Amino acid sequence: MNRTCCLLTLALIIAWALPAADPARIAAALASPVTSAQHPQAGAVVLLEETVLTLDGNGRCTVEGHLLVRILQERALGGLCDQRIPFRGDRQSCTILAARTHLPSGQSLEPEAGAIMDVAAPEAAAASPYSSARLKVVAFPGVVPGAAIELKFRINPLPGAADDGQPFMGEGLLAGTEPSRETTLTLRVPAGTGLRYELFNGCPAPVIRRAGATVGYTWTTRDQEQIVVEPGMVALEELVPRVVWSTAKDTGELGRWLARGFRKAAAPGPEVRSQALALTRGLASPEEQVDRIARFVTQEIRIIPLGLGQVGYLPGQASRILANRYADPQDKVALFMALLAALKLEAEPVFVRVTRARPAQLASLKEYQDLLARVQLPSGERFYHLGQDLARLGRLLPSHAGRPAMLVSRKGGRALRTPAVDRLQQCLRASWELELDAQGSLAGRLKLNLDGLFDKALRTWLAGRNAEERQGLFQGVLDGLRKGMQLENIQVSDGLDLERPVQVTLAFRCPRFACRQGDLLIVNLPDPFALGMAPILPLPQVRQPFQVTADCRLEAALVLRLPKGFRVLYRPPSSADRQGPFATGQTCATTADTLTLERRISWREEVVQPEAYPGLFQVFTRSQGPGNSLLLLEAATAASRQSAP
Amino acid sequence: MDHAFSLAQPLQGALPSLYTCIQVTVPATMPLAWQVHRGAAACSKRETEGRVTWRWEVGELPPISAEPGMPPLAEIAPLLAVSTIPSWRDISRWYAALAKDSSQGAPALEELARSVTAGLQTREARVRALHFWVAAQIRYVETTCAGDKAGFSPAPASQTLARRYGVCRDKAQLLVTLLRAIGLEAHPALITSGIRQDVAIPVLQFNHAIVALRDGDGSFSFLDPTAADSSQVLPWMVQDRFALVCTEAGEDIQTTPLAPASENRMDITAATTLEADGSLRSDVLMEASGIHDLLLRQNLKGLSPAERENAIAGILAAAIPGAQLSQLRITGLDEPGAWARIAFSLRAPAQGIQAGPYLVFTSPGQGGCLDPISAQLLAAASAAQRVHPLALAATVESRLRETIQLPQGFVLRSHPESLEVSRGAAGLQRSCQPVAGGLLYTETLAVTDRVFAGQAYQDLRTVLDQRGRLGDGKLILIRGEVR
Repeated sequence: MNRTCCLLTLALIIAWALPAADPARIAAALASPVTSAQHPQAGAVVLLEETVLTLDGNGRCTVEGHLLVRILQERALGGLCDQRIPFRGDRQSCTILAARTHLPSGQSLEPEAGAIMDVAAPEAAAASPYSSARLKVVAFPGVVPGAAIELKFRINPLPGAADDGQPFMGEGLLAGTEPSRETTLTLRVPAGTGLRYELFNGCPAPVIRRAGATVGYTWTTRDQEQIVVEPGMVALEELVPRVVWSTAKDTGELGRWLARGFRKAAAPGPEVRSQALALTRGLASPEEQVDRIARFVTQEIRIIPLGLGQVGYLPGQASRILANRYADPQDKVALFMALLAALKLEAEPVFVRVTRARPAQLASLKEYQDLLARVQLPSGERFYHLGQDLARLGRLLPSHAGRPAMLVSRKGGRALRTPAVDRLQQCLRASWELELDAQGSLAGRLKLNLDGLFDKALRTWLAGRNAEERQGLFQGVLDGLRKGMQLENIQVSDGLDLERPVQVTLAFRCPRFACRQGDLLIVNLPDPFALGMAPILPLPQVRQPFQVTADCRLEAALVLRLPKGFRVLYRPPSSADRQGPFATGQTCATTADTLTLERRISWREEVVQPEAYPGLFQVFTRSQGPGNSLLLLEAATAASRQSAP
Repeated sequence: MDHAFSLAQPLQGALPSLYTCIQVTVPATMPLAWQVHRGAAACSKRETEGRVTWRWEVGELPPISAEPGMPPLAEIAPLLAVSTIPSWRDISRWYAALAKDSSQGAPALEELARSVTAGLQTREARVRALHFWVAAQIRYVETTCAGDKAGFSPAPASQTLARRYGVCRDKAQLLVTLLRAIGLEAHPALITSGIRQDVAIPVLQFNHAIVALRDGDGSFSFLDPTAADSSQVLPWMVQDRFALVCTEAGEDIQTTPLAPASENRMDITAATTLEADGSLRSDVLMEASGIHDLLLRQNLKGLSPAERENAIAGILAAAIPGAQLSQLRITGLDEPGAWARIAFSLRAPAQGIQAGPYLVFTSPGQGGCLDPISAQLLAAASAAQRVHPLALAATVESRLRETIQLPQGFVLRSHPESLEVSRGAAGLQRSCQPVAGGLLYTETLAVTDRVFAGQAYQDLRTVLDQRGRLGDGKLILIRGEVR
């Protein structure tokens, strides 16, 4: 992981600041013995990471960083040898003060001039209004395991760059996914500045020093163990020492600053007014009008997936966004506000915390990762996720539902929680109708009703595919389910219709689906959730807390008509099981000619601690066990032979 | 390439098109050759004031729908090739001249070549040693992250060595220089990775540089030192492609070899014990070569030991519910040129199902749970009918040998049948052989070609369908004594 990027991204909001690690400290850090034997899981060890952010009296910030990393393994080369420092090209300049590779021999190499360059951030490369999202890239020469790379840089505010009044706020992580010998974060602010901070996960208290008219706050961690990344683990912010700071007095003040910026951007010009009228012509109710405009902004304004704050928090002018037909999340909200304002309706930005890590109580936009829009209507309030064009309109996905948020209204900012969604809105229902003949061939139909994140997953999967391509995709899935299974027919509801949940119906057949072994016909029943992205607990045990990320429910009903001349020797048992946030259950019944299997699995958002995880895994495993998918039929003649005296 | 123009332009794409026109104006003194592959275009030519304007027009064309495993668009769409370059030999000579200064030896390079090959007796051993040194020790960088790297000129070999990074042409040039330093005739070669570019018209649209080594019989063998994770010197993406060896005398374009299936092999050995309580345990050894090895490295090499264990444990748990991994040993991943070997033990409860008088098992090998890579490589062969040929990444071979020990007091009532099927370039042999106390299960799948169309595709499907049913059969045990 690129630690520089990590820390800098968080602080981009900021206007940034440095450390002056003296040569003796660097030499001492380089001389300290670091081996793979000491750190068997590490690709590299951070010997020193210092970040200093200096706020001047005009609210402008300088960032200085100094990074010294010892490479232990070849696998660390790719992630560390090309350092990328994000900055805002329209407001900041980034200068490399020192970049060198310290070779194991003691020699050092510096990058050529051509190996230090500015490039546009990839996600903004095709959208000129966002080209201020820049990366300073440094390619280090001569790096081999055993070498250390050293990078020292400064990000300065550009002379004349307008101060937009943004408070000084940010977040610092003082450890990461590689071991760290020493990590330091310093904030220098003019004396009298109301700097507020909160500490998490054992972050030590700062050392506070006053030098002239400046006060410095320094946090230092030493000898931090690495966090070994596991699939499904909680966010890094939940595990490592963390500082969150802000000069905003409170949410109200922060919100007033945002409200001014959004209202200015969302003043509707003539083009916006005429667009709003054209979109809502013939629609009487405000609900219909708002939905129509939300659909337009969601689906017809292309999203530029910049992280919130990557080019600041204030949006561009609505008329320009409308003309460009592309926007980042805050620009989408500004355009939405402008279109509604043209109809004398009001929308408000809602900054939402997507990450599950415990939020800070102080007022900082760094605590939020995405933006919604709220509209108060006679029928109640509605929230729109305008950057999400593959989810149902007005329905929040689990990542954005029931989350801490900040509403920006005329009066200022106000903390709220976004509406929770019912588990039944995050659901998949699968209905299988199957018929098996005596030769083991299968014909059948699967109907899938999806909603919530399952609905979104399927829309995403199918987006941009024509009918032939969809056929190929579903054929691949069926073939993965059972080799030789052939899709005969497919019906998919309109994926662009965000009003209704998506539905899929597949008709298929499979010669020799069941396997004949002597008198026995072996039927491996299809996984009833096979097309439904069933949750997978990835590991038998975990070292880190495991995050179950949403409240969901899967239900399947499978009806199989059995061939004549066979009796059921084995069928899946009925069962019910529950552990922590997971619950599973199934019922299975047979008549002379039919097997009916109903299976359900549900889970709720929760952090599962490592000691509780194995129990959860067992429950999940039992629901997936081979006994739940086997049907064993015996030819009636054999059965009668066996039962004969 | 100065004073020359060339273009290879697909005339059909993923969107329907109503009209396509390509116009090229060249000096009248500059001869221009052109050809439309796999289609037609109306061509017109107009000469004014010493310049000739060529124009190709195509009317309405439907879109080309994407199909899983289809060849790249450039291999199936109508393609206009236009060139003022007289021959491939001209391009060969041009690049050789361009790269000439970059391959100047330096004492450090000669010393490096000597030290890397010290003590190696054969030519092949020395070549492999130098190849894997460059592949592993010179970091491949994205063009955008390496400064002024656009164009064709390779960096001087000594500079690439000092930087320890480079793009493909830099790495190729360094290897050329090192091979020359030990007295071998080596040249850079231009190639289009991933695409079989048409050869009738010489166009300068290569996207990759590799190395050609002159063999004793005058022919060339090829090496691609950019592929840091390949144990083959010529990995799958540059096999069976058109390559242009760049020499002072000039060469014609030629085809790189396709590795036989035996060089893209996964060997799996498993010793499985079934227990009367329904649990099973298995000791597994997987040895991967060629594309299997490459995929394993790409997925595992960048991970820490704990992350590697998690990755394999996760794959096993998904294939065999409840499977617990232990005694994982991975070797070869960090040894350039070696094959990856993964050995582990697994235990899984509740795999045997009591069905009436029978105890029913699927063993990990027989159930097809131990070779997800072959399944992934062949997954695109799913549709009964195809519009486009199926282009596999590579030939594939998979061999499985599993000994299955039955629980005390049980005998086999039935087991999956043995079979042998061979169709065209695909063959499958499966044997289920009762032995003392259990069963010996072996399976060999060989897919010896890469591109399948028409009947060849149907033959492949037939074989893969048979293989897919591998896990459908069960080991049906019943209490009793071996007689």
